[in-house]
Amino acid sequence: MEIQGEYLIAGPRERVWDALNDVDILRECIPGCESLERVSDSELQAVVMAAIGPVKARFNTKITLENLRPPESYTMVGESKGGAAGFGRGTATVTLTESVDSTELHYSADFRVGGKLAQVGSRLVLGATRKIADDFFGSFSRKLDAGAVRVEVHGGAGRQPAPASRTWLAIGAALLVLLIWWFLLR
Amino acid sequence: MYEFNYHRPTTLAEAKTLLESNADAKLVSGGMTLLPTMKLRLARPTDLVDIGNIRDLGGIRVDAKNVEVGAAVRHAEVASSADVRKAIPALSDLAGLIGDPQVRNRGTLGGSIANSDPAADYPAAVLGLGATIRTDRREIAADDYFLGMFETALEPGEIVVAVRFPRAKRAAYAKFPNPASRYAVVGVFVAETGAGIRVAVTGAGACAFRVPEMETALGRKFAADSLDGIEVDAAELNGDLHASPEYRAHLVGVMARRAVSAAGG
Repeated sequence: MEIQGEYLIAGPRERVWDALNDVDILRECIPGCESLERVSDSELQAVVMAAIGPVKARFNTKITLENLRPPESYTMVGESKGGAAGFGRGTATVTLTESVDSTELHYSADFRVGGKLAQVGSRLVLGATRKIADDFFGSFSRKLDAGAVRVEVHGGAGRQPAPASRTWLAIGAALLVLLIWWFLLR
Repeated sequence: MYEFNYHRPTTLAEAKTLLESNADAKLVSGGMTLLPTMKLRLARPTDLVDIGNIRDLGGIRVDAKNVEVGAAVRHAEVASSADVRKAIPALSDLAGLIGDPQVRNRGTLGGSIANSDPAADYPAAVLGLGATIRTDRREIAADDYFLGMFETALEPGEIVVAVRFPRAKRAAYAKFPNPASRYAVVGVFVAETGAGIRVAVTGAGACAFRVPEMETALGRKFAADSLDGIEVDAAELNGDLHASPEYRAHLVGVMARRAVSAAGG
């Protein structure tokens, strides 16, 4: 199940994009992150101490940045192996949209667990994902802009019409231009 | 299992010292959540401080106004106590519905509310009755206690000593249990105490929460049909392979009606 959230951060989109690729900033914002190092351009290695309820365990996590479209969006894929307990895999797609003097950060995150971890914890996955994603993106946004606010999102549907109508507008405009040309050249 | 130090203090002061002197020490009461977690290696405390032998944490005390249950009192004890049954029958019903006989004979009230699992039963009674949580350093009102998933107002090292439940004029707990684990997919505790009517839900959200619209409606008329048309927003509710957030939202309404009927409404 996907979790979505949106934050409004003051400042240009490039600044937010740079921060999303800044290892030091990410390290400070990932809850329980003990170390984070860049392995390659798109790969990071993290050690995360997960402390939620009765669980307190250290996970080695490989983070890959996929679908890089600077300065607009990327997908962060995290994979952890918890030894005998099983494994966890999470993805978060982050999209940045420019508005007047601020940037809208939209994320959509998903997390899955496997092995024994799933047997005992599947009922907790949604809640835990919501909490971790909000902790991360919340502190990330506030780091860039102390007054950053979480914007209410009503499902994914609410966001779709804007780009769609813009596309139709573009098609309409193009048609209009073609029609005018056609009349003029006749 | 792996190696850890096991302590069994007999006083609260001793338990506090043990907890403070070992950074990775953990309190254990019934161990119904902590032990399975340790077996999975998802927690590896160096020291376990067993609080089951501390006299101050035991016992059930009933007076004209309240039922006070010690933190180390097991669910089976609450379920079978004649005094609790007489004072707040809904509380003994709830305790009798927790998990299976093994869990009820090991698990404790303090352990349940300190852990604050989103699907635990006791938080519904604590919040539904507007109980007071007594710790080694202060008293916390139920309304200020449950903060989120596995998150409570307890500070690091703070120990729950007892919970004081006010007697109710009428109260009932209805739950839709997971058929395998008996955890509450959704559980609703409805109560009318001297302080008014309260409706508390467990299993559905990150932690136990109240439904003010239902409380107002029941205040006008304490009957199941007063709740008709009141919907709970599914947006922040839990979802898993057993029940989606929307289904849980629906179950809150169904369980609330059943609880009101069982309480005589």
